[in-house]
Parts: sequence; C-alpha cells; structure tokens
Amino acid sequence: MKRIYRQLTALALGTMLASQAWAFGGFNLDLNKIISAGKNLSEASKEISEPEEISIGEGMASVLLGAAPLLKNDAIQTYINQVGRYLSLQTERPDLPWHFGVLDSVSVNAFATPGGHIFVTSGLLKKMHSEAELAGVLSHEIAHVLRKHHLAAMKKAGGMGFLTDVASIAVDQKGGGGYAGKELSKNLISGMKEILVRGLDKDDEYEADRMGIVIATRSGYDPYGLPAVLQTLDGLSGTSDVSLLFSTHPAPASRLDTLSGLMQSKFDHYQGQSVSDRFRRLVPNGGNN
Amino acid sequence: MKLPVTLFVLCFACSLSAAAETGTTVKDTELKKEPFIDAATLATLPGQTTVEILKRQGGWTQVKPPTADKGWVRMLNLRLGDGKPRQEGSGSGIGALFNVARSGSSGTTVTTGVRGLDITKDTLQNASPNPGELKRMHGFSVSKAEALKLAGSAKLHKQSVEYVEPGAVRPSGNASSSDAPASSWGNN
Repeated sequence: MKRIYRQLTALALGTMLASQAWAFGGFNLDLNKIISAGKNLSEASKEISEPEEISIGEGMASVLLGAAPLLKNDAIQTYINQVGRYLSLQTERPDLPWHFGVLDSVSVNAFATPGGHIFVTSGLLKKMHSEAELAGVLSHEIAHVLRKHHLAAMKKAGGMGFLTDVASIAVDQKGGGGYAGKELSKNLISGMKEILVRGLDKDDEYEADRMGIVIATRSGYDPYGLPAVLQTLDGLSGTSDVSLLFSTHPAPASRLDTLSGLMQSKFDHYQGQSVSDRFRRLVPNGGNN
Repeated sequence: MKLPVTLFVLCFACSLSAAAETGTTVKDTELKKEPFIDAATLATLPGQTTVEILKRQGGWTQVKPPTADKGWVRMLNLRLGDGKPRQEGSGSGIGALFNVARSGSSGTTVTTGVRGLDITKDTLQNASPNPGELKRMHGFSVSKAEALKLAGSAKLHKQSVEYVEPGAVRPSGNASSSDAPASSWGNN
C-alpha cells in the first residue's frame, strides 16, 4: 500500500512537473483526475486500448482540420483514400479505420494522428511527381500510426497517467456514436496541439522513413518515392513553406543520408511502378519544385 | 513595369521544365551508362560536382555533368541545387515566383496575390476543433475492395519485403526475392 502511495505521489509530481515544462500551459490537470488515473496503477501502466487510440486520433484530426480545412476537390480526396487504404492493407494493422485527406494549405507538410487519420497538404502534393511519391509519404505517416509514435510522445510529455486520463476523457466524450464534435476538454486539445507543434521523437521519424519505403515497396510502388520527396524537400530548405516541417523533423539531408546507407543496392531488385500518369491527371501542377 | 511580368513568365516556364533543375553530388559518384549497378562506368564524378538533372528512374537519376556525357548516378548521391547555401525564396519554381512577386521597389515583403493558408505553430495553437470537416473527411473513405481496384488498374503488384533495421545494410546483389517470407496480410 505504501509503495502504491509512493508511486502515486511520484506520478502526480511527474505530471505537475511535465505540465510546467510545457510551454503553453493548459496541461494543469486537476488533482482529482490525476488521482483517478493513478488509483489503479496496474491499469495506468497498461497500453492504451485501440478504441481509446482511435478516439484520441479523431480528436487530434479534428483540431488539425481546424487549422486547415480539406481541399475542395472530391476527386483528389477519393483518390488519396484509395491509395492510402491500399497501402494500409500491406501493413500489420489493415483493419484500423483508416482515413486520408488533403489539407488546403500552401505549407508543405504531412501529418498522422493515432488510430489511422493521415493528412497531406495540397502544398506538398503539388511538389510531387508521381503516385509513388505520394505513396512514399503516406507510408511514412502510416508507419507513425502502426508504431503508435504519437502515443509515445504524449506519454513522454505527460506521463502514462496523463495518457490514460486523456484516453478516458476522449472515450467518455466519444460516447456511443463516435466522436461527433462533442466538446473536447481544453486540456485534451492543448495536449494534442503540443504534439502537432513539437513533433515526434527524431528516432521515430527515421523509423517511419525505414518502414515507409518498405510499405510502399510491398505495395508495388517504386521504393524511391519517399527519397525523391525528401530530395525535393531538401531543395526547399530556407523557404517559409517548410518551416513547421523542418522544425518538427530531422533535416531532409540527414534523412537521405540515412536512407542512402540503408537502401544502397538492397532495394534495387524490386520492380516498382511510379504511376505518374493518373497522378498528373489529378494533380496537374505536380512537380512544381 | 513590363520587366517583372516577363521575369514572372520566364520563371514560370523554368519551373515547368524539369531539365532546368541542377543537382550536386554529395560524394564521389560513379557515372553509369545505364541505370544499373553493373552497367559500364563512364566516369567518376567527384563530390560537389554540379550536374544538370534530366530524369529519375527508380534509385537512379540521369544527369549531364559539365565534363562528361550524360549518364546515370545513384539518386541518393545527389542533392538538388548547386550546393551553395540557400536563402529564403532563392529556390526555383514556386518559391522564386513569390520572390519575384515580393521584390517590389522597396525590397520589403509585399504580399501580392492570394497565397493561401499556412499551417504554422501559431495557426495550430489557435485552431479550434472542426468536427464538421472531420465528418466530411470520413465521407471520402473507401472500402478495401475499392482500394484494391485502383491498385489493380495501375498494375501494382504486391511484393514480399521485410521491414529493415537501422544500419542493416546487406546488399543482396541479385534479383532474388526469396530473402523475405510471404506477407501474411493484404490483398484478400
């Protein structure tokens, strides 16, 4: 009992310290919530369930869509869902509720949220030359979902107690009919924003690159789609369109160097398609570097 | 007044032409006759050689070096640009377009035209959840069957590839796919 009390104190203290370290406040969960999360320590230490993960991700996707709406082009939105859903079938989590969207933004970026929401900005889409490049980027984002990198980042920032708390809030609000715009708590929203603004662990980005090229290759695409996009991004360094992307990811040059060591020869014997014709039909301004 | 317009048009033309792109080798790089590792080597380009980029095919980029005939180099040995440090708006294409539009008489930033929405740290911090748009996004979801149909129409064929570990560089040499077990998920 004493040990549990000590753990509980440590958990509460850790959460408070974490909340102070976070630049934008809003993370001062009230003590009752912390205690309720810490009450059952065995529960607090177990993994977030899949429904909880999906629920957190839906809330985070909703926040992202508050920053930029979807591009008003139904054909492109359907297309990215077809490509993305196909890629997801070549992974270990083919039955998640995967959703893909193109955000209407000049910023060059891509995002994932837990449980299967993936976004690419129209700014990034216009820099691409082929479906294989799109597949490379989507596969990188899919890998973040597969490996639950965002949940790891939330855990790191706020502690496991916080994550359990967030999940319970999210699931409470989800109710029976799915997340349907029910009021998300301010703490929850600011926590999601922090992850979007701060980005993920750098090693997780490198892992998503490694997995991304494999998922795209498995799906029959040219393995070099993602590296080609990274090469384009490297050429954009110093421009404002990539400022958030560059502040939340390792430099494209470093990512290319890492992939270079990894891919040299190993991926040459895979026959992959670039599928540039239908990509260009749907994204006529593609490849504007 | 005519000059900026001409520049604008010229610049736009450049951005549409892939041949105008330059790249720089990051290290000593073999220039191959064909895009294959065992193709004849035409020359060895030293690191920091600036080349004209012609096209890409898989892991290979066709280039025209200043001192040799055109040939193929490993794509990952190239970085776009001439190797000099870049400045805001100094790139080609869209960035340059905005640069031209911005460089008015004062030299200060003058916003011209509709630039579109940025996603920055500030816009994210100020964003409110948009459940209506999330619902719209969910409306575009496709079934597994629809996704497979699109893949089939592009002749995309599933391949067995295992995830790679960091630093796991094991060149396999020939075209054998027997080094990976069949994946147990996918197109069913």
